[in-house]
Amino acid sequence: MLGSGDVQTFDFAALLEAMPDAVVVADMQSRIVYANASVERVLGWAPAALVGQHLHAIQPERLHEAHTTGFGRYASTGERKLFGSPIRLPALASDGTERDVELNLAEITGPGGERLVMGVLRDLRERVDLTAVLDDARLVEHERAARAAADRSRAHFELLAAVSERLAASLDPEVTVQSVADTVVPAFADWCVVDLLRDDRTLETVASSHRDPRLAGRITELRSAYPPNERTNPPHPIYRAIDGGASIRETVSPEDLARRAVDARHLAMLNELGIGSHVVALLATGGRIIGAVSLVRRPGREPFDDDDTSTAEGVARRAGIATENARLYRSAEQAVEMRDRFLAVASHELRTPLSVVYGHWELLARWLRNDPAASTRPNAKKIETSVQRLGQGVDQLRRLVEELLDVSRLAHGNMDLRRAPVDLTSVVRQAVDDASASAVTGRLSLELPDGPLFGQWDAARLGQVVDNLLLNALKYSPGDQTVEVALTRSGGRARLRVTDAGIGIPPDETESIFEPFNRARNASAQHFPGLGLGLAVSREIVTRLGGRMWAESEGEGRGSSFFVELDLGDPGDPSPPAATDVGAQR
Amino acid sequence: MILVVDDEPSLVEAICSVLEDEGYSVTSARDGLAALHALHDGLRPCLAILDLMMPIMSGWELRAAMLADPNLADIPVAIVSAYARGEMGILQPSAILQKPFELSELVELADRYCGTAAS
Repeated sequence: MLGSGDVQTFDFAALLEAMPDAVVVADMQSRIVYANASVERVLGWAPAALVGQHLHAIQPERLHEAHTTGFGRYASTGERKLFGSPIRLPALASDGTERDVELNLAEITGPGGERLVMGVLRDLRERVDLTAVLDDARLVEHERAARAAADRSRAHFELLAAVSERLAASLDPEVTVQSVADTVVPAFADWCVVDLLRDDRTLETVASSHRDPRLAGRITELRSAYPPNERTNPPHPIYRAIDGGASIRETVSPEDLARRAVDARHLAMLNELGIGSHVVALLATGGRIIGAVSLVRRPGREPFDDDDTSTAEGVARRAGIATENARLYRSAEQAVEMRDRFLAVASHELRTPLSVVYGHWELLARWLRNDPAASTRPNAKKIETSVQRLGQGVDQLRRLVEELLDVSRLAHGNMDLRRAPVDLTSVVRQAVDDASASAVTGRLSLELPDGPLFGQWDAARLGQVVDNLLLNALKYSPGDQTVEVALTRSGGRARLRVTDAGIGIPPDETESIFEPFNRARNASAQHFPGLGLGLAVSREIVTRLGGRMWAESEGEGRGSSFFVELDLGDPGDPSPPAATDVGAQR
Repeated sequence: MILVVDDEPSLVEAICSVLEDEGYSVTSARDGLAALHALHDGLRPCLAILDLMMPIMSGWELRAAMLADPNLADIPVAIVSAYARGEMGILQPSAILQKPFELSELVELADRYCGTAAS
């Protein structure tokens, strides 16, 4: 370090020579008495060539007059108009070109005590260059920041994508939220808790995760020993987020933590888990807040910032939707399960009383048939009609119960099918005969192929399918219309077509009518009786037998055709066993 | 003699009526245990018509007891049930009548196992 006492002995001449700026000293007559080495670099003049010249030598001509005036005034009056602050002006280089320079002026005293003026000229091109260098540095910095932002943004999306992927993998609500907790720890947060809001506003911790697996259990312990409280001042952050309807991001100091802790054990637990900053993001579905995801970073890690908050919100949004989906799925599943159980119980329980009614009706019919005096009794005709109606009702009831039971079997996958060689033509003929006999109205026309159509099918179940199609066709046709039944063979397949001229099927419902309990709009609207089970059961039977079943209709009021296609099997082929059980659960 | 084991009196009534009309003698029990007592007392029906769901002793238990007793194992048993046929293999029934069944099926069974003559 240079002391003030050393200044006298300091070699100022060497300092001037070493300066990067051009230094020119002139006397009061504007005559240059000194120029340093940098003059050559800045203005192109050899220093020695400048000494003795007028200052005009380094000034563009258009400034000469102003110089003469200004310098003259200074020399005579001492007025230092241009001293003290840098002036930017053009200087004349030795090659006659102009250079932008910054000029600083100072008055010094010469060796003989005379007044001299020193000008320091800084080449602005160099400054410009320097600025460019600075700009480059700034650009690099910008680029680095942009890259960091891009990295963060990529991390943000990667995290959200990972969360989405994990959520999509399961419909179990517990698995769902736990997978969220596991995905965000440790990359995004050091630990994480997912709480669902109960109706009484208490919180149920449904998932938690900590970067230190040994501490994962400690979170649950903390929640049960010190459940988040909304009556503290301030309330627990989760409640503040819920009440404010927005996420909360906070940096938490050790003092904050000490203030929030209920007692020493609480504080110890919080410290063990570590809280330096946290974000509480709300879980919401359909505008309703159902819980919160709390994300925590331990002290020493960079605290959460605004970008992190929006990432946390993205995570919570996905988790909220997935949780709701899982809940809906589960309740739908429960409803289906309940329906199936109901079906099984109902159809089972209905069978015994139905047996009683059926048995006694049969008994009655037998007695009437076998009683030689029956026809001579008074009201004989009425009694006969009554017993007949009773029989029709019982039959209908029996069919419904049978369908209910079949649907329940479908639901549990244990419909019994027994395959054996069956001639489809005889099944169809029998069904048509039965339907013709019981049909109160309507007629049936039957077209059969020349020979039998054999396949490995379940005769009783196929009979059920054909019965169902014929009964439907008669039910949905106006009185005297003919129902066409055609069985044909095409290649290795048998095709049954049942066509009626009835109420038809709306175009968008030719598929949905095959779903259980689903009936065409017009069928329900016109109060045709039925549960909407027959077609569902029929299609299932046909499908299980390896065939397919579908419906076609020109539209409402324009009739319908139902088709069943089944693969024919060679009855002489010894390879398939004569009778095979093909039930799903055997 | 045909034994009908069922806890539903009106169904027993219908079954008994039609079989008696056909000339068979019929006796009935309201549950498995009562039937088992009768069998232990020496009743040897040509056919036992058995409901499965009954109080005190179910048809399943009665059938198991019958199969375990060499004196009773060979008595022909027709199971009357709302269950699917596939579930009843272990009961080794001679026949299965799925509710609701036709009385004519019952008569056919009686004819097959007890002959056309009244026993």
